[in-house]
Amino acid sequence: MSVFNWLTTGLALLPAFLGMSASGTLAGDVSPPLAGQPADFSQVVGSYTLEATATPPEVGVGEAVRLTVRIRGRGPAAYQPRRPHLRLFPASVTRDFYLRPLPAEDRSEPAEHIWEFVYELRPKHAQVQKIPSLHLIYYDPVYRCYQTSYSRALPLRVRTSASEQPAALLAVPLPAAPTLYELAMGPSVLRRESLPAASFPVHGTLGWFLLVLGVVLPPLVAVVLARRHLPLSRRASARGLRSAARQLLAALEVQAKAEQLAPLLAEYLRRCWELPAGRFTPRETARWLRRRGVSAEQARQAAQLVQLCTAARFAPLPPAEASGIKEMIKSFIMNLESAS
Amino acid sequence: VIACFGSWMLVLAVAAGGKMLPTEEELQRQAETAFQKGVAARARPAEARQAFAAAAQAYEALHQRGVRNADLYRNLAFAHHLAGQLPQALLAYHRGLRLAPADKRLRAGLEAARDEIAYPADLPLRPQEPAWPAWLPWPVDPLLLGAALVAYTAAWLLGALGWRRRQVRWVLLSWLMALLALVSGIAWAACCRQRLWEEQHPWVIVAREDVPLRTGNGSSYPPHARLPRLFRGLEGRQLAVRGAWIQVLFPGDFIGWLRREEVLVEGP
Repeated sequence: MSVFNWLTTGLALLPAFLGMSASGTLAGDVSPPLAGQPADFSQVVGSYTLEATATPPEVGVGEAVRLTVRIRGRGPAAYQPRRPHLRLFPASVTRDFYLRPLPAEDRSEPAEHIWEFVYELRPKHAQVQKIPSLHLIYYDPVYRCYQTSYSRALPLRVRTSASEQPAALLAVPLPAAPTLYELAMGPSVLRRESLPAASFPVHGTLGWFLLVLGVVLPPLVAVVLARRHLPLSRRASARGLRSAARQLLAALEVQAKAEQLAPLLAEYLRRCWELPAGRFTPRETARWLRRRGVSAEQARQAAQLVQLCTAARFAPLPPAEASGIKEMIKSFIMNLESAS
Repeated sequence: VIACFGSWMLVLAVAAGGKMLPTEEELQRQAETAFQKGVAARARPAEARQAFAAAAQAYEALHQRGVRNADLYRNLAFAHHLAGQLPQALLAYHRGLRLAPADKRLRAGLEAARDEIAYPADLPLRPQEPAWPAWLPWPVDPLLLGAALVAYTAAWLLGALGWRRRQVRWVLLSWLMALLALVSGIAWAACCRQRLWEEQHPWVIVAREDVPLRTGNGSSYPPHARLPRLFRGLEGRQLAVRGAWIQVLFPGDFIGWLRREEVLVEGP
């Protein structure tokens, strides 16, 4: 049983081993599967090992260390190590080092199954004690899974400079943005400005008063301006006229006393022609109606009616004269309605 | 006699000291000269950085004397930035932006400084850029308040016109203005609220490399679980102060405590 199992297992693995050793490439589909693919996968398929060397072992802050990464192994040509695909460094490396690739110094020997990639590292601070372990994640088609090869962490001694922070950047080029080199000059640089207030921008009684005024004033101004300078449209006037005129005519039918005629006429003129309360005099009424586009004859009639009605309030008239004034008012309103 | 002699010596010393201190104009000239020297030595980074550092020092002296304006902070930030002193540069950028939030050069410089900081790829520690489009004027408080009041007044005037003329177009325009006033008012209130929050929680910038972040205000507290060590130039907002310790909120909602001497705090 056991001998048979050994033989069958050995025969099953043999083609894969033969395929590798004979041509250096793998037969069949070697595409790495997307399912379960690690984020740091370096697009390398085959079997590889990783090692790293760094020179010199001791540098000052900001000085360059040359890191050579050597990858050995075999795999299909389409998936051999290439710099753009390599994900060798842990994310934390940028915390301790300025990292610069040196692709001009790379060496590739596929026949010897060796690839070398060169980087320049500059320690950012004196607490750096090592170059961290690098990793190469590749897909192994024999075992059909992703494998990781690690290099050893390399000890590094970093000397402290006399003035640490500027020295850390001595060899790093200056920022290139041209706006950084434009200086503001002149007396404006010496101005003393106060910082914006640290509370709600409306302060004190005056502030709140101004805010409330800003809220209340616009509607008041809008209404007053509109009433004084913007006459109602013809359509609106006509609608108001008909309604108010109907009410007045109905009231005239009911009201028999002459002294009640003046308030009725004043109400009609106020509602239909927006006559202000203090202007119910013959002269003012005529002038107001003329400004509203009423003919001179009708304005004159209105003035006469106002005079009669006002006089009737203080000197009671006989019923015949009162009914005469009523008729005059009726005909006046009918004329105005038809004219508008 | 001794008291009289002593007071005379004091007066002389003060007079001599007063003469020795450079005036603000002299400090400005010193800074500008050093900056120009740095620009001239641009091809030699080591020498240029030293000159820019000297310029920054002179501008810093002006700040210490109470000079406060966006131009000074921009110059200071540029000098620190070019000298490679990124935490100080970030602080100056933030101070300048407090006075002139719409200053595009300060914003561009701030982002350029952040570009030089190696933020870890797996943690969202870089502060977000404001989403406001660069081609639009920056929404400052007076502008928004003015827009709200003008739109509010216009809405009432147009509404009155529509009422008197009985025309729908004026009424619609009036509603549109009212909507604009409402939006501007809400934006103004949001701006005020944001500014209040920012003033109560000033920027904090980590000044050194490898600063431990603690879960409490003491060295005996354990380090933060996800962000145990901080790097130089990391920006956060001060939440609270307790003794020599500051509680800081970093982007990504990391909250922890730091020693005060390990950070720069945006202050007056």
